[in-house]
Amino acid sequence: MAGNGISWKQRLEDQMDPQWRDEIDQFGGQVELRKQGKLDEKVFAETRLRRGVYGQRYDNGRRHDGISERALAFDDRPTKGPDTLWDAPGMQRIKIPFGGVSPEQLEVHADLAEEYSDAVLHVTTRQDFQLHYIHIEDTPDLMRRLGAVGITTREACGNSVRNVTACPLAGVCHTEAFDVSPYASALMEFLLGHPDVQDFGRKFKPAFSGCEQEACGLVNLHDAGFVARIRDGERGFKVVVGGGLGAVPHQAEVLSEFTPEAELLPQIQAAARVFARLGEKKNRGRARIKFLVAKLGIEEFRRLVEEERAVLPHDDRWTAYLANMAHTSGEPVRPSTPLNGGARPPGFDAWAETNVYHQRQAGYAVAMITLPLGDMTSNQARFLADMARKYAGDNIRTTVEQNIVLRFVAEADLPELFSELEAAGLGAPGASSVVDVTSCPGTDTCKLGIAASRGLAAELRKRLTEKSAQLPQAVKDLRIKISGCFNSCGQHHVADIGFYGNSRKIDGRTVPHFQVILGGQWTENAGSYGLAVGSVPSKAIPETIDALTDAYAHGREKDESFQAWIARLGKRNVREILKPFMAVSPYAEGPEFYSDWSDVREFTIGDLGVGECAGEVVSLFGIEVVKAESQAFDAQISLEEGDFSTAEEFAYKAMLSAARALVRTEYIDVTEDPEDIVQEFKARFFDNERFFDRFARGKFGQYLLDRFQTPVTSVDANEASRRIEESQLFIEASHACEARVSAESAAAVQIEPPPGA
Amino acid sequence: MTQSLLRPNRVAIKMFADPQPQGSPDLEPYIGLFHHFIQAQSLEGLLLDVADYAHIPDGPGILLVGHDVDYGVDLGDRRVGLLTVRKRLEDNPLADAARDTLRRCVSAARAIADSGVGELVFSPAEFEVQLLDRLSAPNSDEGYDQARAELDGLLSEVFGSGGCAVARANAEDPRKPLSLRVSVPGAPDTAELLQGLGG
Ligand code: SF4
Repeated sequence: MAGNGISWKQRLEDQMDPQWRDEIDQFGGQVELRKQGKLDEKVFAETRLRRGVYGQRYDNGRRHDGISERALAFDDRPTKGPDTLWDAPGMQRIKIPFGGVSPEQLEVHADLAEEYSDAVLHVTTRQDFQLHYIHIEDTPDLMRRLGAVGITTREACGNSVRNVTACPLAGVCHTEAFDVSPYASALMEFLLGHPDVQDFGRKFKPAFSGCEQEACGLVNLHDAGFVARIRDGERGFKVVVGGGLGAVPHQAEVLSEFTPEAELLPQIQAAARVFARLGEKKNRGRARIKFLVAKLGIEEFRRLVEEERAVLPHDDRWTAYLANMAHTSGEPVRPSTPLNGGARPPGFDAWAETNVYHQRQAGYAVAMITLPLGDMTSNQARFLADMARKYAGDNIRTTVEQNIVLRFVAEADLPELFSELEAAGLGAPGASSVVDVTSCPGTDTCKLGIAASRGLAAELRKRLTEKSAQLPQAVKDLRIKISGCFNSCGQHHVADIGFYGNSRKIDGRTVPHFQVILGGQWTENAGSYGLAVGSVPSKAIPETIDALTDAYAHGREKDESFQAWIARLGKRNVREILKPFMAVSPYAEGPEFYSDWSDVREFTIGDLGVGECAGEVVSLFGIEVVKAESQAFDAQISLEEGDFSTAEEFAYKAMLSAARALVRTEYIDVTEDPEDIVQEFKARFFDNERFFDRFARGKFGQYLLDRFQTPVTSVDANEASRRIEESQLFIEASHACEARVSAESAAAVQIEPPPGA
Repeated sequence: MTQSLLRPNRVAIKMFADPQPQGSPDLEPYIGLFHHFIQAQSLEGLLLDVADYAHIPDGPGILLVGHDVDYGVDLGDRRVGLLTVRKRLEDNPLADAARDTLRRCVSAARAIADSGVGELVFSPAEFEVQLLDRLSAPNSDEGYDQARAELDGLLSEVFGSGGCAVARANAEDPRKPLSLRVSVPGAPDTAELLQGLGG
């Protein structure tokens, strides 16, 4: 409230869509009601999530400070949701459809970051903005200020249609069939708050791409993807469904080779109805549309969508936008002028090589601004708004590689733009190269993070930048992507070199690790996913990258891609490269292994809040689980050799071995009979939920139970790779379960009275 | 008609390093130090976590995030300083909020100096007061005049009448927060200053 008594609500009430205004007012009322304890916490949690108001690490009020777990002394107030304290800061996600943002909107983000967050704007891998450390009471005003410049946070989280992403080059690209941005915008507007998308069991992420061969849209990893096509002079889309990363990645399948533009919205509406009606609702772990498509098969899914489409009541909005499509490709602010022999400041050529794309429109270029880890300050955001106004008009887009692009920059202006960017600390070269490491928030702010993806990304970026001049071009062209856990928000499956965070118990302590995923395909719209080759301690990752890139640079055949090199070498040989880095010294000899990047605290699996300080020798579990890991590895080898049923069988055995290793910590005499193992595992760890973690619950344990109950008859490549993914997740979950159980026993021993007391 | 007092939701004070480092300072030691501050609960406020933003050029550097206050070794505007952001002020008049923020900033500077960690020395000889609330305190001539009038008493009390010079910062860009640059030629040391602030 201002000194003059005016609130943002009063000031902005006439400056936004009345429906948005009423929705935000209603949300403000719900915040008040919940604060007074008059609204159920679960209802409030779902309400705020649907408005992009997310939880953040430590919001359960517990944090391990490196010495012990401490309660954070927040005031005693109603929660914001189960185990989520009212005053604990959270994250606000802001949807930016197709990444398009105007200078004015960017300035508002800058203000909000300063006034409610930590003056940092973070670009996500889905072209959203995220602000962190936000207090719940500030969110209604934050939404009003966004609403006044045409941005809604509605359905930015929750079981809803998330941000509609699209190529940042849409409208200016040489390979696109046509500009997809107006269609992305129309789809977003049509589905926002639509009654047919309110009853999903999980989130739904759409993406558009202007062409098939490039990567910008990444449609194959989305719940629904649309690739622009022209057939007989008519515009339309190839439509794919059921892609997704997450714990078990799926490639999307083709719903339609050509959907005419007039059918785009009704077809997705029909698909949404099928998903809402038949998709899983209770088990979150199987509720994404990819599981429904896999269960029904794409033919049956297609049939159901067509059936639904035939009975949909007509809606004028399906085609109304086509007559008056928003002009999104942009109006240049300066005349097109080629650079020709114009003066170039020092550093310009290196920057231009990686950060400039020459547009389809002659004399204009796209300038890519590399944001380290997707971060920029409020000052930098205002500066970029100025640069956009001066050189590019309204043409700012965020990218899935966590950068910003300015489009329609006259080529002759590029040197001056570069000089200005450089002066503002934004002139770093290397966009979309090996130094431009992508990372999810990881343990910095995410409740599910296991390892410090951002800390690792910053370290890699620093080291690779220092030596980038010496790197061979083939290495410079690689992409590195990091996720803090198996949930894949860093999109590690589609990187040449990807990582996701996990942990291992060694020398009685927990050591942060990253699973190494190699050979994912970025082009062809994320055409194929990489496979896991082994877990490396977090602190050994930089050396691991050096070894991998050296081996690639020296061992590749002429023009051989990283994917082809990995495939030729085979996982067994690739693993040999990794092996020297997998070992962890005992704590006394190498304490650095036991903390994570950018964090001096001894590592714990912090969200559980259990300090892992019980000194132990290598446990029985530690010895036995190795068998499971080598079976999972053998499964990958068989998959690579095209022997799908053996691969599947090995993956199943790996789950059985990990389950047996767990069971044997309590029941040493369990046999090797699968029936005995599953029965004991179920009784001792699954039914009583000891195997469950707080977020995935029993999802990973269910993989084993399902496979045991439903033996497979025929196995194709997809089925085999899915089973391998499942086995890896099951093994990870077994490690986590054993760590929890042993920490609990250690705590119990500590409080036991000494003998004779 | 009397004008009501400014009551910004957030007030920040950035106390500059003196001398300013040549080139980029080594920020890594502050990560450990800030974690230690959380463990030992050495600074006022409910301290939550440490954020490493050293990768952002001219960014927030290393940030000790709290519930009601953040402390950071900040590199913004190409000047290194100790930034203290007082949050959730609710209804406090500017002068009270600024006093509280200055006290916390000075005691953080002392704690850093006492730790012997890091190469930077933060001095009250020059600091900036930022009002992070565009609704209550817009960056305008009137906003500046009012803020200046409301802060004059506090500055005279702490640094003596005529003991400091105040100038408007960020006047060139009304989008930036309303800010006042305070120079204190014969600045007391942090211990003495803290005493004057009741800390
Ligand atoms: S991948 Fe994991 S750690 Fe990273 S943001 Fe997603 S859930 Fe969080």
